[in-house]
Amino acid sequence: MNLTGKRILTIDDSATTRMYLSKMLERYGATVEPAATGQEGVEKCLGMRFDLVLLDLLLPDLHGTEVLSMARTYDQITPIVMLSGEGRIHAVLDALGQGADGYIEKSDLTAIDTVGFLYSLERAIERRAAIVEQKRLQAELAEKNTEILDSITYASRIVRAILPGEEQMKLLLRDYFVFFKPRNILSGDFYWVHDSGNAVVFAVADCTGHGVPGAMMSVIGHTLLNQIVIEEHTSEPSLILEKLHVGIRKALKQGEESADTQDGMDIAIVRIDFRENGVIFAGAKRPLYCVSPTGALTEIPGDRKAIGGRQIEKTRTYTSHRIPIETGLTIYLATDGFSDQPGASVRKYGSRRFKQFLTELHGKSLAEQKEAFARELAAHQRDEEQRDDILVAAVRL
Amino acid sequence: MENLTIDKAKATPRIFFDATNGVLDIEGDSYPENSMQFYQPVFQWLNSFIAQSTTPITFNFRLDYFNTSSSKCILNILEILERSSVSGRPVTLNWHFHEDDDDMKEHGEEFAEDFSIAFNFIPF
Repeated sequence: MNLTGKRILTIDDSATTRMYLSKMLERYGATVEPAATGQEGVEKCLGMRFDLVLLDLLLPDLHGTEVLSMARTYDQITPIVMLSGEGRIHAVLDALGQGADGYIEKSDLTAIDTVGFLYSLERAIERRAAIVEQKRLQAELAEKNTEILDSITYASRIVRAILPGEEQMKLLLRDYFVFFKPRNILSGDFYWVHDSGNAVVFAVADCTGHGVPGAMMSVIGHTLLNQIVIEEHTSEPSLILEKLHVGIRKALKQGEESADTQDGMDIAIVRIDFRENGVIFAGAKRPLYCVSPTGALTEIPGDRKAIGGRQIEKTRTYTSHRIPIETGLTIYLATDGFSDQPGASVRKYGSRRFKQFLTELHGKSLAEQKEAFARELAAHQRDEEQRDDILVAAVRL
Repeated sequence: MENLTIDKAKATPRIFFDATNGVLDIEGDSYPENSMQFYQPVFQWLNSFIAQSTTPITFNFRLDYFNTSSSKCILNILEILERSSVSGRPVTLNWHFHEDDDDMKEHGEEFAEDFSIAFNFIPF
């Protein structure tokens, strides 16, 4: 091992040991700085840069581990090797736990195996270098993670600003709840509402993906709904979906030779029409659930066609269904996140159980129902990770 | 041709495509963050298998859950299978679903509506 140019601090109260170490290390090209007490050692440690420190466990003023911990408070980089007498294994283990990088028994230095001694130093230097590198990587990872999270958190403010506010929802839907639990900070599920005079158009959508890609699709969906319903005055749900499908395909250039996305969304959309006294529903792979005041559930399936993505038929059409408004009728629009959530003991919640749960809620106010959904999910999910974004919305007529 | 084996992971299914007998299995959950990337080798293997051999294909979907972006990849697989079936390759398509999983059965029915290949629905 070549120690040329290395600065080594030896802290040992025995003059013989210091001299012996200096001689040996200098023979291999090192520059050696001796210290006779713990105090002197700490001062030199803090005042100068060393490539290696050899530290005696038993010093007259301070214990070796005290010197070690003082040095490590300020310096995580320099390798420190403990020198110990025979049979001090506990003290050595202690020192290793507190940041020493190795130890050498020095009971009889004159008989020491120089090759083994140098090998121990080398190992200690490598060990410290690995720790330093690991810390650097950790810091780098933490920094990158913070950067990405900050960016996502900021983006979530924009997405949240786009979602209808509570006041607007209350004004338009009166008696309603939205149980919204994105899987990550950003969500691929979103809801949308608009007042078109005598009717309110309300939609709950589940975009492909969650997190960042999901949110990007949400923004496209939101913008297209604004354009179709507000600017183009389309309020017939089936027509809205048809235009939404065309809009997504156009926006993502799907159907063109170079197209490389099949992304889109599943959506349930209703027009609650007070003048016609009816609810008009259309769905793209999402149903509408209606629960009467007596707890009778009707499921109106949506069309089995997603919005966006692959299209083999010439034009895609959707179906509108009309449900007469009945006082106390509660309609539910939901993404598949709730029913697809795995539980502690079952593979997933399932839409069968979801429908059963809806009927059990019929006597409750919507505020109570929202809480019941949260409790039901927690009881089902336990420690299982959330798999997708979850969104359940209800309106009582 | 070599078999394609991808071990099951938390968010991706087990894939075992046996080139010797033409039995191709996908089973488990599929909700990778980047599904297109995950399925790329699957498409490639399937395309070269169809091009390089004449062995009849038995394709088994046995999925517990897949996310919407994985469903787009399943569509791609079905498109590849349909093309080879139309050009004369015998293709048997089995859609396995847990007997009380209405959702998975329905997903299969939705796919079946879009394709000319016959789906065998097999509860387990």
